[in-house]
Amino acid sequence: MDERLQEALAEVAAATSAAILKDVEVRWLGKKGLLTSALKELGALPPDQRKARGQSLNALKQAIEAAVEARRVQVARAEADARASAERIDPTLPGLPVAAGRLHPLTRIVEEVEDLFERMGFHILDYPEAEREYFNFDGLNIPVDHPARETQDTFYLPGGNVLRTHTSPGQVRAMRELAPPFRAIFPGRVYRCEATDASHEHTFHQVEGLMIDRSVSIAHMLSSMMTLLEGVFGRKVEVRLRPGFFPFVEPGFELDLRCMVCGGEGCPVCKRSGWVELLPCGLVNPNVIRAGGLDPAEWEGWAFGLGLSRLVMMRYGIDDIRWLMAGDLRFNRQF
Amino acid sequence: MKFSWNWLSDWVDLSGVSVDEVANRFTMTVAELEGVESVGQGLRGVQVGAIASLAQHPNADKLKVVDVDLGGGRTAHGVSGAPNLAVGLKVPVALPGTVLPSGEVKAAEIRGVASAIVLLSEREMGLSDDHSGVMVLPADAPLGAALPDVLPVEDRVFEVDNKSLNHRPDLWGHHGLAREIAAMLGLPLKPLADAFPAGDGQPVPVTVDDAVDCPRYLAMAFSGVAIAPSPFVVRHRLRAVGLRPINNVVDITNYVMMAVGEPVHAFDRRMLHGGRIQVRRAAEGEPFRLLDGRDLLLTAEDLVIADAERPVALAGVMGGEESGIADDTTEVVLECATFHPARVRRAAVRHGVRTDSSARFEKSLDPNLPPCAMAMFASMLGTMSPGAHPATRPSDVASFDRRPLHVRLDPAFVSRRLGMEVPVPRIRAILEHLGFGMRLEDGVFDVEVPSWRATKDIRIPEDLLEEVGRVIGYDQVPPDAPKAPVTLVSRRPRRVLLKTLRHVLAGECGLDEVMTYSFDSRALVARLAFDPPDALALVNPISADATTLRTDLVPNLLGCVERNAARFPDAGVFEVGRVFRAMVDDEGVPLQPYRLGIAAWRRGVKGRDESEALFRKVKGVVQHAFGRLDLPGVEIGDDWAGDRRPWMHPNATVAVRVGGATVGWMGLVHPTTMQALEVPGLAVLAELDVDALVSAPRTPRAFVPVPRFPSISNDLSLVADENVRAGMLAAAIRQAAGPFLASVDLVAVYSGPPIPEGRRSLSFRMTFTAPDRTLSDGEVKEAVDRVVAAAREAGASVWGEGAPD
Repeated sequence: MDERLQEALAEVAAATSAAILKDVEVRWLGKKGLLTSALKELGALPPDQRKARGQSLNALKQAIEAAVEARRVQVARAEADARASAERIDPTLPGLPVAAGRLHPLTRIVEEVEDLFERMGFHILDYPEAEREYFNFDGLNIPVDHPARETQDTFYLPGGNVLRTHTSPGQVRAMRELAPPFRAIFPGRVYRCEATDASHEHTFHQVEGLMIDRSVSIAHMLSSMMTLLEGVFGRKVEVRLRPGFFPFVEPGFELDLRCMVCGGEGCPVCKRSGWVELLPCGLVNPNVIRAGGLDPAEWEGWAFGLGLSRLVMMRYGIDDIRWLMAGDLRFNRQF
Repeated sequence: MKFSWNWLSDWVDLSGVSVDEVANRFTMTVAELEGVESVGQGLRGVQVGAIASLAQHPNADKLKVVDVDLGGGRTAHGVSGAPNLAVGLKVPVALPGTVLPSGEVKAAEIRGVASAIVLLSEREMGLSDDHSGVMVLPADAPLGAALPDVLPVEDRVFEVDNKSLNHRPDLWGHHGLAREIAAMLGLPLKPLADAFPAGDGQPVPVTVDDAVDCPRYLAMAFSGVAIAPSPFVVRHRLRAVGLRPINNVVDITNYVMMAVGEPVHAFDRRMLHGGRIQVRRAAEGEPFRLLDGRDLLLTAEDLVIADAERPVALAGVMGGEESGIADDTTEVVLECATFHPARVRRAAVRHGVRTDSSARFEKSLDPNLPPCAMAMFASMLGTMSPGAHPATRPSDVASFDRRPLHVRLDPAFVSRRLGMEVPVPRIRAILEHLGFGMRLEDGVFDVEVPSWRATKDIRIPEDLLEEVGRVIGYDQVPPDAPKAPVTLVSRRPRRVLLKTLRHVLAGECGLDEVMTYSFDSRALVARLAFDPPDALALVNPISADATTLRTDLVPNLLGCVERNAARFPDAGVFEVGRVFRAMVDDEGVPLQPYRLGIAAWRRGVKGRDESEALFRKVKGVVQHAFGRLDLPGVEIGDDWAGDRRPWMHPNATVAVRVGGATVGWMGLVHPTTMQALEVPGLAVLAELDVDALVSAPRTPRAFVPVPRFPSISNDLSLVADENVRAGMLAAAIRQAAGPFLASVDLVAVYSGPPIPEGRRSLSFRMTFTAPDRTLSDGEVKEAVDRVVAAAREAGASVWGEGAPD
């Protein structure tokens, strides 16, 4: 029997392909194979021999099966290796384009800013673009004779309405809508009646933010602005507050950001000052709180406005604001 | 506005203070400085010399040979062509090697005479345009001294954006700026004199019709005036801040304005008919010629200064030509007044005459300034026109409230709202330095607001908080996170929906997002033959092309098709935005719903197959997007019955419905529209009402058990008249197929041989399944037979089985 085993194992070992191995398997273990035939002949043996013979044939069969299986793995592996070593592709062929469209870059920034504020517990609100003069001006402590109401800045509509010149009307509307204390932002389109050029548009995007609480300080506002800007720019920022006059806040500020291009050394971007004027902000004027239907003796707030069109231009290095509203796919498809 | 370091130094001692420090502090406590420039630099090499002798140049009529005494025994010799040379005259001298702003001075031979000096004109030193002769220096100037040590030629000029000082009427003159700078540096400030000598004559009669228009009018006449050029120092300062010197009287008025912040006007007294002044409204259509020669037709809204007969000045804006100062003027009437700010501003805007004067009056000037202005004018006139003197007693028509404004300020309020502790004495010191009167009563300050801050900018404690904060410096405030309760903030359904929609349309459906103007282009809508109904019109459009707000998203999207089709022949875009109506809501606000607009186009194709392909593409987008929004019951196919627009195709515009409610339309663009856009090809549009989508009922997603038994599919090609709609056949199939039909999908559309002309084949794949067993072939065949029968009923035949009966 050992000879038979040696013979079978030698054949298995000599099989160099799946096909040859199959032949070997059939020759020994197939329906008409050598072992199968020997097992069929068992019945003809006398009972005393039958058992011993059966056991040794079964052992032989198992050994051959095990050898075939082991060899099969080896052969398959060898064949795969051989295929791999022969196989080539050209990895420099270009990737196939995915037929996805692009979001407008303003949408990207708006979503980013909204997510940021949502994480900080702000409501995100949307108010009319064609707005009552009252909300755009009077309610914001901008009286009738204020130069900001001149027609060269404001698009007037019939019936005491205007195209909002800023997102600030949302301050009064939000106070009337939400129960204090609250925090909210209101992003959207704003309009100015002015000629367009590379850095001026009659239509642009802003986001206004407002926080109303029982006691609100400049220190609170500063902390919130720094948190916001860290979120927007993805790193620690250095800011400074300068006095800035806006009728709806008192005190009012211009918030400057340490120039990120030169780090404050002075460069053309920051006009050599080391600082970039970024956003106006301030403590909400008591008259505005009153217009919002709240008692200024009880409620205080801070507010800020951020130019989203400008932020988009800064983020992507866009040199002409008019691209944003041009509807030109050479622009839109870059984002 | 520009202001000068030397000028500030008249009232605050800035010696030892650096220009950079002042500039930085100003930016951080008042308003951003746009720049600091140097004036009169590079003249340190110029020396004072006296002309010792003069002789005619031997070879040139217009040249002189000059000897100059430079003091200390030094002399120099050379040639000069200046016409105003005289022995003894002190003049600026540059010797060879001196570097001037225009270059280095070199020794030269001029027409055969060696010259080792240049006698300098103002222009040659970059000090003015005056090149009429050598500059004449004061007779007491020490010989050999450097020019900048003798005359204040060197200066630093700060520039600040006018807009950033709109709220500060007190900062429109150097004295107010000096006050501010003194306060921020903790230095003393010299006060402005407000006392002036009066003449003996009867006051110039002044009447003011309306005290609201003119709260104060102070006038006084001067006589013995001789018009002449101003001395260098005055001219130099005016020029440094951007004003052009004219003559002594006019220069003094400008000087006073820049110093005090109060614009004043000098009339030639001869030209005041009747010798009197009336401050009145103009008559409608009253003609008036300005000092600069422009002719105006005044309105009844304009305030004028008039004599007995006609206007002599547009109040606070500009004087008249006839009554202006002339070379032979000898008597002047000086006006120092206060006018209603908005009236001045509106007049300046109405007539397009914005002046340094109107810019100041429109800020609400302090009515206490006129005497200060009069005092400075009187004093300067006496110096600059020797012999000039007040001729009359002053007329002073004043009706303003002289009671000071008081504001109560709790020191604790300052600390709390600043977010840092400010000691009470510090608050007092800061405000006192700025001119506020401070009295502490029971721990609360009673603050008396100085008149120059009381006209508009200080009213409430918050205003005083700003004064304290900016002087301390906001960089001292430590950031402190707000302490607010933890609350759940609800999201607005429209925003959530729009965000999903945008991401699905761009990220999944392959459309590019665009944003277009909220205005319609007149030119574009005219080409589209569209007259927007109920359009909201702008009162003051920025151009003749953008006069109304868009009523539909489509026109601007078609503009987008037009713009892009040549470069992007097969593309699609969407926009989410508001459209506007003239109709208003209860609050009076124009209706301005959000819409979703889609435009897809293919350039250079035509024909039914291409039209259907593009239509199906957009329909698929809408269906997919609505599916993402969990909107059930989306139906797109019934003819649109709403308002027609010119771009809507007569036979290929359909309603888009959700749960039975119409939310908008979609359809093929009318060929006429494509022609108007000059885009050869096809386009499909959709415009949907976002709020209808927001309010539409949603069906939340729910798991459907995966079938346990295999399904059986059967394809059937039905041939029918080309006008038979696939949707109708699919509905017939659904109805006839029985309960085992799981789905029916259109898999192919074909027309052409061997299908007869006018007919087409629609291949449907039906899938049958049962929840509890594998269907038998017989059951499926039975269902298919019913479908075939129903199809025949509907006028279709089965491909391969010949024409229907």
